[in-house]
Amino acid sequence: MNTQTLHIEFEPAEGAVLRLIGLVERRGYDVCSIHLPPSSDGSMSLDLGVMARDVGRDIGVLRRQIHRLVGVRRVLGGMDNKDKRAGGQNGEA
Amino acid sequence: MNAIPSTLQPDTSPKSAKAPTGAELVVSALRDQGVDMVFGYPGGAIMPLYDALPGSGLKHILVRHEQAAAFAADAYARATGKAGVCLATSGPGATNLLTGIANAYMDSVPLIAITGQVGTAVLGTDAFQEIDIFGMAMPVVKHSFLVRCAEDIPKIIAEAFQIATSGRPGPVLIDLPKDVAQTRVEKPNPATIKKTAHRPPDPVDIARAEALLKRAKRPVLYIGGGVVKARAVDALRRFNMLAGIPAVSTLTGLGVLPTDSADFYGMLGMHGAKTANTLVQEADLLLVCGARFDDRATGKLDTFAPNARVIHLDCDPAEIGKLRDADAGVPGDLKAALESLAVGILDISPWRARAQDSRTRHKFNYNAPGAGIFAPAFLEELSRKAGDRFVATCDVGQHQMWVAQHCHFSRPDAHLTSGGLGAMGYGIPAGIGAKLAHPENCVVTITGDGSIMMNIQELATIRRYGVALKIVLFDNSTLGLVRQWQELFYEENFSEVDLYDNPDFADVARSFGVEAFTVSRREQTSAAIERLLKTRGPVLAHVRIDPRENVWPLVPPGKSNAEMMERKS
Repeated sequence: MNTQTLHIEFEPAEGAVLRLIGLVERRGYDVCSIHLPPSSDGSMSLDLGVMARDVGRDIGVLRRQIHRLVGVRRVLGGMDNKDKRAGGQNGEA
Repeated sequence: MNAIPSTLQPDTSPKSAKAPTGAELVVSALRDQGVDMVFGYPGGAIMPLYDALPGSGLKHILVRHEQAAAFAADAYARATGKAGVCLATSGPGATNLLTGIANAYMDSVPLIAITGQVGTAVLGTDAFQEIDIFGMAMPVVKHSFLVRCAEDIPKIIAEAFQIATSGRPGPVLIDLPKDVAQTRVEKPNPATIKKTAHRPPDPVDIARAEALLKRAKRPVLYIGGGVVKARAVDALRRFNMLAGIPAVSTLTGLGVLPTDSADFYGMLGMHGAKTANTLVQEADLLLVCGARFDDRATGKLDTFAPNARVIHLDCDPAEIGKLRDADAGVPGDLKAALESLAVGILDISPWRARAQDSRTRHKFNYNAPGAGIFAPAFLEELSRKAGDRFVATCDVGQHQMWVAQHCHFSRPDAHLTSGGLGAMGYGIPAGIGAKLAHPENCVVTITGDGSIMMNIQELATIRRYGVALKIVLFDNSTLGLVRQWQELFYEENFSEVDLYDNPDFADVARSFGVEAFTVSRREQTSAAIERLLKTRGPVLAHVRIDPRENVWPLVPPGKSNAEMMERKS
């Protein structure tokens, strides 16, 4: 299983980073890398390298699960299983 | 440094003619949200909030364990459609709430849990009764707040209610440090909340769904608890009155279609009805409404409804495709989606006839052998005689499945059960919450001798507030569902399930001041039900049943729903 990178844009709040990383791990993915660039405009973003722990996990579902967290504005990256089968583009939630 | 920070010193000056404290702002913000009742238990760190309660107009129900506060608030929310509110102190008070918060999370119930916390100056120092409940609760809340600034309290409370009740509902935790609760606030920050509109369904998705429906020859409507949360019950009933699709339901979707509806074929899944599981397995299309393909419903997932295409309607886009790919996913407002689906009357007469024939052939036999009380027959008669005001709040175990299989429900809020979490101990606190929410209802807690001991102390709460809750306790002196699995799947190695040394439950109830009686013979069934229904105050019927009685049918663990067992082989 390959590492995929998710780019997550979110509102800064106490616990926000912990909430994001915790969700990814609980939903069956290893977190392989974390990059939290400095923010200048009051918003924050996080680049997470993730790898599914078993086959059959669809990163499109993970992206939507991240997106439903309060304060998350956008989630980019990772290729859905369906898109992979169709040779498609990276997704967005 | 041993000195107590000045912010933690109690303010002993007169309350009047002063700016409100953070705690008083919490109370007024709750009132602004329409809250009239809260469930809780006081303690050190939440004392400022309890100091603000008297005279506030909020009715506080003092439970005897914080877990019961969360369960009661959960049931209050399910019964009213509003957010339930529970309170606890820091440390053990907060951790005791966690099971109830998790219960609300798993079943998407709007719940506001407010916990006291040690003062901000000592946060992170392992202070007395300090626990990072904000961190501990993260996996089981929709969102959480640690209040750092008293000025933000009105805004945070308003946001918490908005989050808890909008979209897919869920619990929100507000952790309130003691000094913040004690701080006087001259100028609170206003509560400006953006109303989030329901996302309408995409017409393209609807068109795709309609095309699939119109081609289907063997469609099944698969109803989940999400229909209730989306307030789409009436829309679903109208839709299916026209479409006439044979319908099945998950545990939490029971009552969306009345049990006695012509097109309703019962619960699917592990302890589902034979006809319900057969229809799903033979279907060429599943119209899934507010359900999430839970493993207890699907059995072995890759054998579930093997020939069916799937239309999946859900307000939560993250549920679509999570466990089963959808041929037509319709994320967004479920009520609007159902109202948009224009399929008219489907030409599925042979399929409907087959479903009806199956129901007739697999009708449950209530004539069990023996002279003891047969719990399924007891429950069927009870729910029928209790009528439309009947509400069952269940504990977890065999009795919970018998309720789902045999009670008649005319509406979804007539069946309150711990679905996703399966938390023993839910029944009595949930009964308290449901009865206080709607005193006019005939609320009956159905419990077992294992489950009741998880929150039996709440008999004191029933007594204190005169909650006219009826309790049916099925006592087989064993952990029945575990015993059943050990019998069937662990070669009768009965390990730690024997509760031979239970107390006399009728005596226990009476010692709490609750009327109680015991029955054990089948001919006592009708009289026991009459007595339950006629008793004006709280009453417990202690019903002894045969410990060898099992819940049938049953899909063995890891098996397909097509491999139901109807008796021990």
